[in-house]
Amino acid sequence: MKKHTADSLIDVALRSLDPAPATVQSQDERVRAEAAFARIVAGPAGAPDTVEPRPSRRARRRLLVSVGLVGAAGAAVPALLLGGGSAFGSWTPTPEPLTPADVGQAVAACRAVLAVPDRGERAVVAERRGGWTYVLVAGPRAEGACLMPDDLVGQEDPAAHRSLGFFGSYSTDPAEAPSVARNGIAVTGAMEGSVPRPSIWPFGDDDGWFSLVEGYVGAGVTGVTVHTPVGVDVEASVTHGRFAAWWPSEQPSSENIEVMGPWTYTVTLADGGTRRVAG
Amino acid sequence: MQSPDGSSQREQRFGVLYDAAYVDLLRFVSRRVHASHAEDVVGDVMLVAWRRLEDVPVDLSAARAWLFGVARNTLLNTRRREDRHAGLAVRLADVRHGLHVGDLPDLISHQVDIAAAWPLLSALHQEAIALSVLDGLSAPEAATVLGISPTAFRLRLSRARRTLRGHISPTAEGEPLPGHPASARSER
Repeated sequence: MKKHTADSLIDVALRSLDPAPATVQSQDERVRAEAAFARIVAGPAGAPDTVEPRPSRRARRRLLVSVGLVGAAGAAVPALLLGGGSAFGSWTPTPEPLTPADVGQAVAACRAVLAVPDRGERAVVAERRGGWTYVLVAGPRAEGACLMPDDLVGQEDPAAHRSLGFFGSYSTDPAEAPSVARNGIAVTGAMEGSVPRPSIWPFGDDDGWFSLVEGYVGAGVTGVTVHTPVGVDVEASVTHGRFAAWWPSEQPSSENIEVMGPWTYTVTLADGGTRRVAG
Repeated sequence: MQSPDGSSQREQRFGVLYDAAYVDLLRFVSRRVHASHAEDVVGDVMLVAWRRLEDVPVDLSAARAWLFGVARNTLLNTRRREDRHAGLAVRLADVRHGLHVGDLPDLISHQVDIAAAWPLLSALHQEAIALSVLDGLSAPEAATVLGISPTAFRLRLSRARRTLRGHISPTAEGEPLPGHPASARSER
């Protein structure tokens, strides 16, 4: 009884501390909401997205266990051991550069699925790891990145095939390039994400969880290796003063806090030497 | 291709959802990010709803929970790694900013105690309590947002409440005392 009294008093006090209490929308807010509505319904409909509510963790755990058993039985594919479900079964720790034609196609697919205009950005990193293409585009007015399976990139209308798997980010207010020591790196983005994929299993979903890091390299740096918390060293792509790498991971939770880091880096220098850096 | 009639029906349905859920969604997001980003996030979430309208539950209350779940995943997906926790932290208003305390005598001391205890809660516990008390969701709806079962949510909420009570009144439940030992923070 006492507990209930305490809880209801706590609830009343909590509601009085609500940072977003019930209010009437201001005229400005209403105008902005209506403008946003008009923009949204003017766009294409029906394209699936990457951020729908997740199914329960139990389903995912079951899937990961099954995948783990496959790995233990002898099919020692790195991505299976790393996590990320079967979505990233073809992932490789060393990236493959894209041909100029492939870069153009990847940038076009990235833009199409993000539904953003060409604001003069160019690809600063473009790589392939197994069946997945990653492209980082940057310009003075916008910056964006996409992780896409090759079967999506190859589509005539990639935006209509998002359900094949897609992860993208886009900003019209990109951060300025940081100053980087000649033999150092500056990490500008590091995140966990997931790509829903059509399931090949008779149960559960087949989300691929991954970790991704992006940044700038100093003028003397020719290579970056990421020592990941999941125990695998990943060779980053280093081009146009940028670097980027991603690897299959697991959904971060209180049960596997280790997938969230920390990670460290070894940089390769123009003179052939290497040094460990914290990023 | 959709017929013009199909398109206009779709837009009409989305319009009803938009009007019914916009303010609630904005409040949900404002509790979790700085107010300056909240409208942008709401725009992104509504865009997802427009593109996936076929997947949005018809029932408005369930649709609201679906939108909250998309918002939560959007925020988690874009969150920088350094800021990430297993859950999405929820902020509270600053107690010093002249809040309406009504006429409950214990409320002022409770506000101060809760404001001090709130940051000691894990993000998982913060969001369990916030979904129930501030966002006003039922247990099954809150479970949808978090992608867990209703039973798991009830369990988490009850643990979260117990932890919060422990931080507020470490010696005598229900009688708020000053001081909040950090050692009480062990429970997840």
